[in-house]
Order: sequence, then structure tokens, then C-alpha cells
Amino acid sequence: MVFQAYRGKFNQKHPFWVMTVLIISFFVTPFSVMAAGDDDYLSALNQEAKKVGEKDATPEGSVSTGESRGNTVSRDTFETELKEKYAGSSLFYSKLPEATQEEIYLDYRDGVSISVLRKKIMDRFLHR
Amino acid sequence: MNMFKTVAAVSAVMFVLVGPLFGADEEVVVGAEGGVIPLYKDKPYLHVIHNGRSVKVQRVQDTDFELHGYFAKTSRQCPPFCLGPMEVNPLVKTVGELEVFHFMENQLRDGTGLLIDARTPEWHAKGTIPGSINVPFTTLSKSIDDLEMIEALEMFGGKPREKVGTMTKTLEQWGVLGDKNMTDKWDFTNCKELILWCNGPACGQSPRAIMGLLEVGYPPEKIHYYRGGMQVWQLYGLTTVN
Repeated sequence: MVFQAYRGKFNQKHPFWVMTVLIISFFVTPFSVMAAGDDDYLSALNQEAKKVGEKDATPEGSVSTGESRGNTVSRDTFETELKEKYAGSSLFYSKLPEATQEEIYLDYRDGVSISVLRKKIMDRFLHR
Repeated sequence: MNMFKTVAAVSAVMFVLVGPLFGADEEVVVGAEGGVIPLYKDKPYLHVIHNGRSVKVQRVQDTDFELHGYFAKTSRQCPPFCLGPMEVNPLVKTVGELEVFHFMENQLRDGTGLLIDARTPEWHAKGTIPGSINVPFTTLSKSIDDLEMIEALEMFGGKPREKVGTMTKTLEQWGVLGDKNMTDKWDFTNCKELILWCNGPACGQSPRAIMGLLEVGYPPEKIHYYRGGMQVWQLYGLTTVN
């Protein structure tokens, strides 16, 4: 009885189309929210994909160190790593002319393995 | 100056001759045959066809190699990039690298399987696992009537069915007719085995694709989930292609 009275008042105050809009939005809203959620996920994925450098992946069929990969590594970093891991090679590297050092670094950046580079350092040092 | 050069040259010769004895920890020999780091025991590498050409899949041979770049990251924003469970669905098998290798050499080679990179094309373009084809999760999450989904299911070996009559449907439900791998709209009897993968344990793209396939009735026993994805693949120094 109370409900009917309330409904009567509601119908007087609010026209039919308001009720229709409310009912439609009740069904549509969950799907819109879901679609918005998917859009957010896709947008986050696209943003994240931009952070991936194209050279991050392992070179195809590579037998190289992989250290070369993405060797956006600076020459200073390369030299520091060489000093830390291969003190002997680093010493001989430091005695090489600037142009040869640059050549070794460029080889490293192009993906030549560290064992090949160490041999090259010795070869250059001994003028072989 | 000359003195220094002589000493350095002698040191260099000594270094080359004696170095290997002292530097054994630097040049670690792994694997039974001459320092090759195999994919797994007695399997140095394998070949897989990618975009019509043969690609050698192997591990990085330098034991000093350390991963750099995006996939070396330990953490990403969560949500949305949260660690996912081991299983996407109890009926779908989760697989590791060895199963992927076997799949490459068997199902991929004889055409009964497909390796699916379920990531969006932006990710796929930046490097993928050899032998994979890109079918983004956005396609595999679409409804069964969507053209993209229909094309994908046909590529996976599914066959669209003619309208099924009530009698046939009832007999199929009773198990008298047809195969368990049939739905009202699709016949998945001869569909291919799939391994779906994405960026790794914190990636939701392949799980979404798998859920989409299950939704349209693709047989769960024909779907496998490689949870390690690109991150673990690269962590083990395995070959990728652009």
C-alpha cells in the first residue's frame, strides 16, 4: 500500500522516460565498465610495449655473448666490466691505441663474444 | 719504454699460456661435448621454421652473459601486470621450456600444432619466440560470431558447422552421434594443438586468450599454456627473432 502510494508519487514527479533510462542504464553499465576496463588494460599494455628496446631480444641463431644485445652500454661501462671480470685483458686493453680500443668496443657493441674480444685484445697488443 | 714493452710482451705470452689454468672459473666449460651449452642434456640446439625460413634455437653460449633490457626487470606496476597463477584453467596444461622444444620438433614440424604469441602486435614486433605466429588475445577474446574469431578458429583447424537440428543435437548430447569436440557452431574434432604464451608469469594476455578459446568450446586438452613466456625464455638465453 505504502509502496503503491510512493510509486504513484514517483510517477507523477518523474515521467516515463526517466524510468526507461534508469532501467536501460542498469543493464548497460556493467558492460560499459567492463569495456572501459579492457581499454585501460590495452592502454597500459601499449605504454609498457614502448619501454621495450628492439634490441632487447636475443639475436637470432646467436652464439654470441648476448652481452652485446641492446648494447646501448656505454664504453665506460664496457671498460669497467672488463676491468672487474677480466683484469688481465683490461690491462692490455688499456695499453692499446685509442683507435684500437674503439674498435674493440664497437665489436662488443655489435655482439662479438667476450672470449673472442679477449683474444683480439691480445692479438692487437702483440701486433699479430 | 722498450723495457716496459718487453716485460708486457713476456707477461702477455705467460698470460696466454698459463692463463687458462688460473682462469678456469672465467671460462667455465658447460656441457659434455666441448663447452657447448645445450638446450637440455644431449640436445645442443634445434631448428624451427619461422616465416618460411629455418631458425636455429639455442642458448647463449657465454656463461658470463647477464640479461639486460626490459625483460631483466624484476617488477612492473601491479595491477595490471600482476603475477598470475600456475594454471589458467584446471583442464589446460601448463608447460615449460622442454615441452616447448618438443612441441617445436613434433607438432609444429608435422603441422598438427601452432605456437601462439598471444600478445598485441606491438609486443610481437619487438621480438618473439621462433616458430610463433601472432594471434593477439584481443582477437581470441571476441565472440564466436565475430569474423576475427571465426578466421582464427579456422586457422586452428576448427570447422564451422551447418545449423544443427534438434534431433541431431539431442543425439549428440546423449553421446550417440558426433564427437565430444563439437559445439552447436563448431567442429573441433581435427583442431590443432596450441601452446599460447605472452610476456611471462606477470602477463595476462595469453590467459585471456585461453579463456576466450575455452569460451567458444575449443577442447581444453588441445590447449597448453607456456607460463614462462618471453621473460623466462630470455632469462635462459634462448634465441628470439624479430
